[in-house]
Amino acid sequence: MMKLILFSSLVSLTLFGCANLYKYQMSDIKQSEGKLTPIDLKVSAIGFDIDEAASVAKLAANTKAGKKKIDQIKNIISLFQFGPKTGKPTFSDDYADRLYSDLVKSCPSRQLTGIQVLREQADYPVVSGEIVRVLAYCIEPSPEATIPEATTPETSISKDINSVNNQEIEEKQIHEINE
Amino acid sequence: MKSTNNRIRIFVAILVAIVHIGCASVDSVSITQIPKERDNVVETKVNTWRFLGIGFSNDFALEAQSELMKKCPEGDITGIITTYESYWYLLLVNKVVKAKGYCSVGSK
Repeated sequence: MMKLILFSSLVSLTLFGCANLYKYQMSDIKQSEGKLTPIDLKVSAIGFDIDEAASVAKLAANTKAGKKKIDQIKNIISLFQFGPKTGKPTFSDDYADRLYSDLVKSCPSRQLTGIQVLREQADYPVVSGEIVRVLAYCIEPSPEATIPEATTPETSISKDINSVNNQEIEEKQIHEINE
Repeated sequence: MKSTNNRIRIFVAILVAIVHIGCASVDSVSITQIPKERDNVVETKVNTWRFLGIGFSNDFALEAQSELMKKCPEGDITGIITTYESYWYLLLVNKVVKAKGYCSVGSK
């Protein structure tokens, strides 16, 4: 019985990995200011569906009492996941925060255009990949064009990134010394 | 004869139902800064059909931007309104991305 459940779970995991698109947005496109280099970034978190997990657990439970306990646990957890949501609930809500700094880092000229944002999901039984994908173009200005002065809010973010990077390097060095 | 008439009625009823049951929803809308000059309109629509909503890639949506860029070569496209919509027809879903903007060539 367990082998059958495992096998069917494996088959369904392989076959039913469904891609859902929740939101799509696009920014202005500037094609006249220089050569465009495409950028593709993606961040994701694991989503977890308690209803589906409980259904699978119930299949494995042999006794009525066991199934009842699973239902009770499911109901308690469901109370913490109450309300409207996009996709399956994740364990963290800040997984997409670093997209902004990643975008800035991946464009040396700091001029981005044609930004597309996709909120999507790779859906599997019980779990899912909750994904935010950003595609953009980095404008590589012609040699005579000047790169804007670093006085925009992006500057502070890029500074923050540098300070974070320095911190990471320092931490690595400390870790290596300790080892 | 009577049974043939009944069958035709059922067939017509199913056909009408299939045509009219289509249920639409707007999943997302976004608008960018609208320019002063709005003469040259460029728009595009891309879509994909899915059985029971099951699909394995969302890359169809990305074609909207490349289609827009093709319609305004080397120009700037601003004031873009993008909508992402779904239309349900019983077991089939039509996922549609529409984008409309204003092309300005030689604004450098």
